[in-house]
Amino acid sequence: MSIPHTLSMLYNTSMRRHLGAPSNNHVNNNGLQTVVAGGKSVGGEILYSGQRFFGTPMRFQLDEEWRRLQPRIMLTRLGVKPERSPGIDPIQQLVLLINKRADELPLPDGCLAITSQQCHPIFWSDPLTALAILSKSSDTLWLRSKSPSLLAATYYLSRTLIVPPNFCSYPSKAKK
Amino acid sequence: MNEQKTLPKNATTSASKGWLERLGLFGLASIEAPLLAALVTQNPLLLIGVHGTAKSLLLTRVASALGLDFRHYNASLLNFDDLVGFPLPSKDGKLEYVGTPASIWGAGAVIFDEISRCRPDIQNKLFPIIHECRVQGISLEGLRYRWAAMNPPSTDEDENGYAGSEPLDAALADRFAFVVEMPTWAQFAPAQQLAIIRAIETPIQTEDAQFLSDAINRTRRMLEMLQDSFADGAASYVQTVVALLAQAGLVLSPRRTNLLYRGVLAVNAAALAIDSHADASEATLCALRSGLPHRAQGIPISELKLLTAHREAFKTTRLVQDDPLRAILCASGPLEKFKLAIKTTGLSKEDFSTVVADVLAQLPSGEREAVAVHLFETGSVGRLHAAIATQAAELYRGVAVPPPFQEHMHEANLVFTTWDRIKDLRSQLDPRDSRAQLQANAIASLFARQQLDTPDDAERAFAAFADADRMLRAA
Repeated sequence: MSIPHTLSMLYNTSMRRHLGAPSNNHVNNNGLQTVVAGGKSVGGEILYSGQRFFGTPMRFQLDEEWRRLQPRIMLTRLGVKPERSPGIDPIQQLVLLINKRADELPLPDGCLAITSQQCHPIFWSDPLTALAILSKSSDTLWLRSKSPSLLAATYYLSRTLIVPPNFCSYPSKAKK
Repeated sequence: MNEQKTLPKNATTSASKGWLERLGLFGLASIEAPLLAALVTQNPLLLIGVHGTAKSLLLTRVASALGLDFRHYNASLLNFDDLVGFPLPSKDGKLEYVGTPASIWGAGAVIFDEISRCRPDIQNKLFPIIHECRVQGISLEGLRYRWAAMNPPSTDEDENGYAGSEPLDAALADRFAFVVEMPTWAQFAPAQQLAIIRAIETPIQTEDAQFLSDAINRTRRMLEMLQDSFADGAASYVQTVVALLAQAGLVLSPRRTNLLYRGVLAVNAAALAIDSHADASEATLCALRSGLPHRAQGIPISELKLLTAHREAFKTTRLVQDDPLRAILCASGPLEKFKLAIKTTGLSKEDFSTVVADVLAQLPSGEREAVAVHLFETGSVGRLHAAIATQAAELYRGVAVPPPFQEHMHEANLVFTTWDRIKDLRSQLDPRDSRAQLQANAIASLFARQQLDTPDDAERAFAAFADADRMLRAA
């Protein structure tokens, strides 16, 4: 008689290590909150909901149309007149603006970056701030000192930073 | 197998030959500097090598080239009478030794071959000769060089050792300032292999002996200069490398630190005497390699750990006395190192990144996650190069954003037992404590990344996170 086997992953595909093992129990994790708040264990399965982040999620977002914009137009959208002087192109002008804005942001110098969800609040909605975050982000990280990449900004269009609790007093003061 | 013979004088004529090659010893350029340093400092020298690597030949040729009155003893066959001669009462009632041509009295150099094969009682009697040029409490006037040779000792860990070649006693091994490993056949260049194959033994030529004397004199002069210009750098190097090696499990005695310091200066001097463009880092690494007694004791030395320790320590030779990086590198453990690095805000991005990368590599599960949390909570992650910051972010993501996962398995599975233990541990946490949230997430993240194989692993990592987190926050 064969033992029925199922394996389902919500998140971590690396958990597929027991593919050959007979299964009749559940290992799952969704955070501490409900486990310790009286979550029930049924046949090895624990179900919880609750706090998902340590810190505050902050979403930064550009509209879809930014994917198609030329740097010169981006400058115009930011309310900046493109320089006409030789040696300064629109990209350089954007980079200067982005770095300046990134330096002003009351955030830690590095933050965890994750995929955005609609439920993540937006604290700064202006496109320059979004560019300052998106152009200096990777899949996992935002670094203030990183050289801006317009390609990264238009690739992501939206990222959420998880700001640790120590720094969370800043955004409400700085919200635009 | 590759016991060397000396090559006929006319076989090679290059003017750029090293001093060992001039004595008819090929393929040994890599150990010329430490050997020259041993000759200049007159500190005890031990050669370790497989059979036929010219250990005995090297020592006897060097002694001959220097015109030394030397004694060559096979320590495995040695009796104490062979060393001191026969005791006879003198006219004044004292005991005197009647020497034989083989006894040690009057020798300028002694060679104890096969020292790892001699009886422990004989080894004990050799100890004062090697250490302080004394036998039976009597000073051996004129004895300048004490050399020994041995095969790699047999140990449980090392299958390549020789049965019968026992690890040296730690105290005896520690008396050899220079412990030099002989290059093996596979390390020789093809031309060197051919030279060894064709070698025949010839007398040492006067000019070749003079070449060695000149090299020794040049090394002495260089050493005097380095004792002024490189003393601080060498001391700093030794202080740091000793701390780093201890972290890697290679503990050195206080005496060894002094021997190592003198060795670093002498090997650098020898390297410069051989080649005026010699690289200081290479020479210092060579001094480190030939300054560790562990191989004589049968303790393997990880090449990776040695190189890493050297690389980090050598940086300190250029640092000023109160440079904080020196204190960081010398810190007792990775967490201490991390705490100091976090506090030292003046550290360059490169240095901070290097320290954090090393710390993350060295820490066990649980502590590593706590360090990642601390980097983000303090904003210090912004001081890192992107690659190291990303590495920290991968760890932090698992802790700051709980990793939901779900899996079905048999409850007899060890993984399920481990998860069960994790549930027990998490149930002990206070949900109102935000640190408990992190601790719970850290352990779940480690489990999801398959870094906890047993319930014991889970307990260790769980406690390690809490302890490290507490310690870092207190700092």
